[in-house]
Amino acid sequence: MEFKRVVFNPKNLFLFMFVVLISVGLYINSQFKNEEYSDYNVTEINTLREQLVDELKSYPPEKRTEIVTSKLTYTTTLCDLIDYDNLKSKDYKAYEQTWMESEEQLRDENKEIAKYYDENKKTLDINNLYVQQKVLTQLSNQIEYINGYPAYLESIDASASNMNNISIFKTEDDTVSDNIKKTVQDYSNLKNVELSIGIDEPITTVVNSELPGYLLIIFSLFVIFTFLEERKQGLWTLIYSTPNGRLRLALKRAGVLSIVIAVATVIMYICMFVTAFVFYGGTVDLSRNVQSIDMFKNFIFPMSELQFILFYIGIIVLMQLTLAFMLWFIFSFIQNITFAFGITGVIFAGEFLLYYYLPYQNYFSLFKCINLFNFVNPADGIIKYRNLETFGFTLNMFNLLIIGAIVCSAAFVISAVITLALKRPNKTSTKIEIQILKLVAKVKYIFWIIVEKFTLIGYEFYKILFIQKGLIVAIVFVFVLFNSINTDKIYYSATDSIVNNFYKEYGGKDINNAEKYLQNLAKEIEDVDKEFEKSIIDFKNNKITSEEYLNKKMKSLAFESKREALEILNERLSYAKENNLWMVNPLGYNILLGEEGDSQQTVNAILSIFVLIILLSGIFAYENKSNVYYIMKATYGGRNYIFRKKITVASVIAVFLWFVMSASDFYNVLANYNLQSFTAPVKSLMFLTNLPFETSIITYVILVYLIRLAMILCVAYIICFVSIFTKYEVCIALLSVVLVVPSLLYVLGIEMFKYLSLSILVSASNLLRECAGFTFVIPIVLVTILGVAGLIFSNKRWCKNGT
Amino acid sequence: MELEIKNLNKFYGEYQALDNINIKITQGVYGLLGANGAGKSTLMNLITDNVKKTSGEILFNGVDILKLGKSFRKELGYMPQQQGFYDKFSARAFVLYMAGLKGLSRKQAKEETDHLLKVVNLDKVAHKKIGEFSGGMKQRVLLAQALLGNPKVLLLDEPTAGLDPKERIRIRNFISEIAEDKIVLISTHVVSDIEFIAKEVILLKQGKLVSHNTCNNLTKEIENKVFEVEIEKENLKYFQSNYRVSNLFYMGDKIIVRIVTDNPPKDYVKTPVSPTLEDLYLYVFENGK
Repeated sequence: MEFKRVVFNPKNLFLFMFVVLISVGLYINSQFKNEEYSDYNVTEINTLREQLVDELKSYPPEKRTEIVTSKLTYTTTLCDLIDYDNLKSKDYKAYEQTWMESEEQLRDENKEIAKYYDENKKTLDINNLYVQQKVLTQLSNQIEYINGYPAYLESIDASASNMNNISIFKTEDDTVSDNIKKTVQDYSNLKNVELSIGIDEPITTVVNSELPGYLLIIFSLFVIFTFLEERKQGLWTLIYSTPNGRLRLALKRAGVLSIVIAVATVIMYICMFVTAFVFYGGTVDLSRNVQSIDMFKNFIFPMSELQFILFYIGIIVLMQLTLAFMLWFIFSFIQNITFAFGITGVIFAGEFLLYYYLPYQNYFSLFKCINLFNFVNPADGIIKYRNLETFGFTLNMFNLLIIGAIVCSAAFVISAVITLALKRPNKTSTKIEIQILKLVAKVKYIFWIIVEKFTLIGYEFYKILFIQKGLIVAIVFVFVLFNSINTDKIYYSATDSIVNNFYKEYGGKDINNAEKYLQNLAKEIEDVDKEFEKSIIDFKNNKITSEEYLNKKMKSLAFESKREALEILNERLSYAKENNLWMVNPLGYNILLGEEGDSQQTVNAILSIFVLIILLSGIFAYENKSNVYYIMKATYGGRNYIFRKKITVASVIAVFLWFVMSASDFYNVLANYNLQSFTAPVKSLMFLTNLPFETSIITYVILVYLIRLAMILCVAYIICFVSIFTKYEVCIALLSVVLVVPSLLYVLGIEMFKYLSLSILVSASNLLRECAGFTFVIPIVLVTILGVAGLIFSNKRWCKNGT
Repeated sequence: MELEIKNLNKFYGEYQALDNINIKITQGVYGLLGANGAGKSTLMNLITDNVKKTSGEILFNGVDILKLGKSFRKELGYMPQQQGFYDKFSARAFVLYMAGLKGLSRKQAKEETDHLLKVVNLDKVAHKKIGEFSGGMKQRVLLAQALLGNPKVLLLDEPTAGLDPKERIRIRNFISEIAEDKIVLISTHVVSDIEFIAKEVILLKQGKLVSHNTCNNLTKEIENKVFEVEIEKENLKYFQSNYRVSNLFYMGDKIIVRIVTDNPPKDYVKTPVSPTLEDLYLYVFENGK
C-alpha cells in the first residue's frame, strides 16, 4: 500500500520522468556543445571515428601505430596547406614574412601530398579533412596511451623499489612505507590486463556527468515528502495511534525508499549510458577492458566496460541510498520542514567546504573522502587511485568511500526508523528550535507586511509567482534562454572576412561606390591571374626561375578567397541593382529574421509556450481548487473586475516572456554581429525577396516582433480560457499536448506537424518568409480569432450568472 | 430594506432542490433550519447568484437581484459552508484581498480588516498563513471577510461550525449586535445558534418551506406535544424506536426521556413541558414517529 502510494503518486512519477528527460536532454546538449568539438560536426566525428576504429581493429596492434601515423601525416599536411592558403589570402605580406618558409619546408618534406593538394584542392572536402585530422589525432593519442601502459605500470613498480631503497621511506611500521607496499600490491592486479582501441566517450562523458546525481537527490526529497504528507494533512496523530503506525510503518518506508531510489537510479543511469552509446557508438567495445580508456589508467580493478557500467551503477545506487537515508533522517527528525531545509543547507555547505578546500594530505582528509559531494558524484573516488594517510592509517580512498557509504547509510536508515518509531507528533521544541523558529517567524512577518501592501493585481501575481511557484519557472526560463546564446567569438573564413569588410566600407544605399570597389577588385584579381599566366609561359621559356614562378603562383592562390568573395558580392550587387535596393550585410539579419535563426527561435517559442502554460494554467483553475470561487463571485468585484485584473496579469506575463525571448534574440545577434542599414528596404536582404510587401528593415523587424507578441498574447488567452474549465494539472497536460507536442514533433523532423505547430506562429519569421504571398495572414488571423474568442468566452463563463 | 423570494424553484437535473419557495425578510436575524439536503445552501447560493435558478425571483427592495448585479453584491456579505481559502495567504492578506474584491478603498480596507480580525479574535495571528489555522480559526477568517464593507445582506452558512463554545457565544453576540440594520440569514443545524437571536426561523424540509415564523410562534405549534416520561432502562429502546427523543438522563434506576409526539404513551407517567426550538426541529425533521 505504502509502495503504491509513493510509486503511483502522480507528482513523483511526473518528477522522475522530468529529471530523466532533463538529464538526458542536457547531456545531449552538452555533448553538442563539447568544447573539444566546438569547431566540428559531432555526428560526422562520431561516424568517422567508428569507421576508423573498425578499420584499425582489422590490423594487428603493432601495425596500428604506423597506419594511424601515416594517415595523420597525410591529413595534417593537407590541413596545413589549406591553412597556409587561408593565411595568404588574408594578409599576404604577413604570410610572406612568417609562414612562407614553413610552407616550403612542409612541401619539401611531403612532395607527393603537396602535389596531390595542388591538383585537387578545388575538389577537396575541407571540412571532412579537419574532421579526419581531429579523429586521427585522438586515435593516435589512444594508441600511444595503450602502447605506453605496460611501461606506466612498470614505472610504478620501479618508483616503489626506488623509494624502498631510500632510507627515509624504509621503516617497516611507517605509513609511507605501507602506502608504497599497498600501491604496488594494488597495481599488480593490472599487470595482465590487455588494452585495445575503441570509443571512450560513452563511458567518460557519463561518468563525468554530475547533474543526474543532483537531480536524483531532488527526486529523493519528493519521495520523502510523500512520507511526510501525513504531517501536513494532520494525520500524523491518527497514524501514530494505530498499532502498525510506528516501527512497522517506519520499516516499511525504509524498504519503499530503498526500492524506489535504487530503481530510479538504475533507470536514470541506464538511460544515460544508452543515450551515450547511441550518440557516440561503441557498443562493440563493451567487452574491452575499461583500462583501455586513459581516464581509467589508475582504476585498479580489471574489468570490461560492461562490467564497469554495472559496477558503477551499483555504486551510484549505494551512494544515492546513503543520501536519501540521510535526508529522510533529517526530515523525520526535524519536524519543521523549513528548519529541516535550513539544516540540510548548512550540512551541504559544510561538506562543500571540506570537499573543495581540504587537501588530501590533511590529517582529516577522511572527511573529504566520506563526503556528500563524493556520494553525489563518486567518479573521482572510484577511478583515481589514492591512498590516504589519515589518523595514522593508510586507507585506500575507494575502500574508504564504499565502507563510509555503507556505514553512513546503515546509520541513517536505523536513525530514521528509530526516530519515526519514537518521535511523538506533538513534542516540545528545544531551546535552539524555539530561537530559530522565532527568527523564521520574524522573517515571515516582514514578508507578510510586504505582501499585505499589494493591490489586487499584486495578489494575482503573488498567487502565480509564489504560491504556484511560477517565479522559479520564470527564472529557469530566463536562464535557459540566455544560456543558449553563443557568446564565443565567431571566427570567419577568409572569404567571409572579405565580405564583412566590404559591407563595413561600402554597405548602404549608395551602391555606386560598392560597384566601383568590386570593379577594382575584379581588375586586381584579373591582373594577378594574368601575371600568373604570364609567369607560366615565362617559366616554360626559362625566362624566370622556379622561385619566381612559385611566388607568382602563391600570389595567385592567395587571391582564391577574394575570387569567392567577389563572386558572392557581385551576385548581391546585381540583385540590388536590378531591384533598386541597398547593399546590406545579411549575416546578423539572417539569424534574426532568416533561416539561420529558425531552429533557435522555434525552440525558444516552444519553451515560451510551455512556460506560459505552466504559469497561467492556474490563473482561474486555482480559484476552483481553493474553493474561493464561490465567495469571490458573491462579491462586488468578483466577476468582471477581477477577471480584468487576471487578464491584465496574464497579459503582463505574456509580454514578459515575449520581451525575454526578443531580448535573447537581439543579444545573441548584437553580441556577435554588427547590424546596419535599418532604414534599407527589407528586400535588400536576399532571403526576404519573396515578401509580398515593401517596407524598411526596421519596420519589418518591428512587424515580426509585434506578430510574435500578438501570438503569445493569444496563446495566453487560450490558456486562460482552458484554465476556467479545468483543474490546474489537467490544464497543463491538455494544453501541453495540444500546443506544445505538435511543435516538438515538428522540430524532431515530422514535417506534417508543421501545420499544427504553434511555435512557427510564435517565432513568426519563418512563417512570413515561407508563406506564398499574404497567406501568412491566415494562420495569424485564425490564432487571433481563437485568442479573442478565448478571451470573450472566458469572460462570459467567469462572469455569468449562476453556474 | 427587504429581501423577497418569490416562487423560487431549483432543479439539479431531475432532482428538485427547492420547491416553490416564498419568503419575505426584512432587517434582523433569520434562522434557516433544515436537515442535510433540505436546500439551505442551495437557497444561499441562489441569493449569491452562485447557482442558476430554474424559476422564480429573488427581489432586493423590489428589484430582481440579477438585474441589480454588482450593486446588489456590493450590499452582500457571504460566508459559505465549504471553507474556501488561499492556504498560502496570511489571514490579513486574504481579508485584504477580499476587501479589494468588495471595492473598498485601500484605507477603508486596512481599517476594516484590522477591526474585523480583532472582532473574530484573530488579530494576534493576522500575519500567519491560513494553512496553519485550525478549522475554527478558518471559520472566523471567513466570517471576517463576510462582514467587510458593512453589508446590508449577510448570508452565513453554518457560521459557528468548528468553533469552541466561548467563540460561538462571542460570534453569536456580535452578529446579534450588528443585525439591527441588516438582513442576516443564518443557515445552521445548530438550533442554539439562532434560538436566542433569530427574529424569525425558516424551516426547510426536502426543498419545501415548512414554516416561517418567530421562535415563539413556532414552538407554540408544538405546545402539549413535548413530555418528560419516566421509564425503566429496558424500555429505552422501545422509546427510541417509536418516539422522537430529544433528551434523556438517568435518575437512579430510572430514565427520564424527553419526547416530542402527537401521540403520547398512555401507560407511562408523563409531564408536559414547554417546547424549545430543538424540540420543534426534531418534530419537523424526524419523520414517522
